[in-house]
Amino acid sequence: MLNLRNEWMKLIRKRSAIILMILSALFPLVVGPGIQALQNKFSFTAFDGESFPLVILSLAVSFYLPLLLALAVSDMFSGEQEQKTLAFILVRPISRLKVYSSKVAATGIYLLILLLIVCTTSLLTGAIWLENFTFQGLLIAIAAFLLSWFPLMAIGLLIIFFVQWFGSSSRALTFSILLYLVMMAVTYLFPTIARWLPAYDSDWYQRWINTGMSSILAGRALYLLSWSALLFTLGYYKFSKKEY
Amino acid sequence: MENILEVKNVTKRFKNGRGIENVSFSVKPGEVFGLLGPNGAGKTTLMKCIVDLCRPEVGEIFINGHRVSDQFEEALKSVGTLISGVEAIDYMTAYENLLIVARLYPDIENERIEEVLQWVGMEKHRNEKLKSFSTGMRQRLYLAAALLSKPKFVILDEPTNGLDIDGKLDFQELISRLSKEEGVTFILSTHLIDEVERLCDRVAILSKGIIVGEKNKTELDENQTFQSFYIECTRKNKEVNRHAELA
Repeated sequence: MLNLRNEWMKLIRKRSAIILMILSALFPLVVGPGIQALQNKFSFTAFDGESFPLVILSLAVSFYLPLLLALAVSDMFSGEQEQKTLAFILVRPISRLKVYSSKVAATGIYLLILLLIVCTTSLLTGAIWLENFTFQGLLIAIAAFLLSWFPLMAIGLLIIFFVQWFGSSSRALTFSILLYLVMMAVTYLFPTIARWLPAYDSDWYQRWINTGMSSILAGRALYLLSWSALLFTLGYYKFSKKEY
Repeated sequence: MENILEVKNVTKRFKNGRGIENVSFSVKPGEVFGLLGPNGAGKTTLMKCIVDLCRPEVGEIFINGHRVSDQFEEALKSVGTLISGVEAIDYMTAYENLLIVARLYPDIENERIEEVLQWVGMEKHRNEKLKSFSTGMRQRLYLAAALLSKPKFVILDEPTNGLDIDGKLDFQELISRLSKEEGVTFILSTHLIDEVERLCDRVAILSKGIIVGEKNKTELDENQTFQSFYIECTRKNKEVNRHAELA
């Protein structure tokens, strides 16, 4: 897709995107030695080299990455509308479907890269600073990070649909954060209702690691896929109807 | 010969009452067509409808025989656009912004980007970010973006906004050259009468969203200019409106 290169270039040329990537890399590198120092001081072992990447992933999937996703998406849709730069592309011979798809694809690639950055630095931290780092642990951690992309992308598509109702990136970001917090609250307070929401799958990788492929997980994967397809379509509908 | 642009009975109204009403006109190949009107007449709305940034409630628009509303890519294939209020990306350089545009057309080489930068006098600023650009410099860059794909038809909405005297003269020279030497067709919306006098072969007068007059340069009476035609049309329109109000 021709416009994917453009969307990617726009995304990574932003100073904020680079800073957030660096912070993502630093997060495990700072937390790892800190935990090691605490464990040595108080003579306890909360995390070892094997479990450390999964602890970081749990934090990243629940809080950090959805926030980064909301930031990127708000900027890519509402921000560009606010700055009137979206129309700079829309007045060229490219369909709105292609523009929209390339934005979604760029979001997916950005998310994958963030996951891989956090994965690499948490594995390095686990291997260097913490004890009991195994090859099996390494494979599980990589699989867990890659599996997490799927439910996070479903959340991303939900945010993409909603941010298009806002003409300002800050309002879109605030709404996205509130939406995610509400979904998290529903997950804890009303688990039966939460099953319908993608935030319910924040521990998706854990379920795969614990049980492997099962009919329940396959059904859930199908549900997430349908949810993503539906939100992609709704998001495109909104995008295609907009006037600038 | 088939018209390059056909606007048929287009109506687009906004909540504040502004917009365009039942606008129809066509642009022939090789023409420089001027759309003249005061601020708020609906020129930008019409231009936005032509490039599908706004959707008309009624009417149809065709570019090169392709309906814009459902054959957008085909319609815009050989069209360059500069729409008032549309901004390039300010954290990127002039060259990068043109590269983004170049990727949306087939076979645009780096040399072409350099060439259009030179045409608009921006070659020295190619590696500067847009953040530091004045309105005039931005306008020059937008013109470069419009001409990048070697278009056969160029849509220019208030193209000299923010340009200084030299910039305006350079722009008028460039449009004249492209029109005469390369046969490029232009539609130019403006509120500057001298621009229309100098560049346009045919003019439509837009007032309060309605086309109140249209004339070819060759159809002008002796001693008549586009300026006097504009005054005549707007006066007539005011009288018609006054009578309508009284009735």
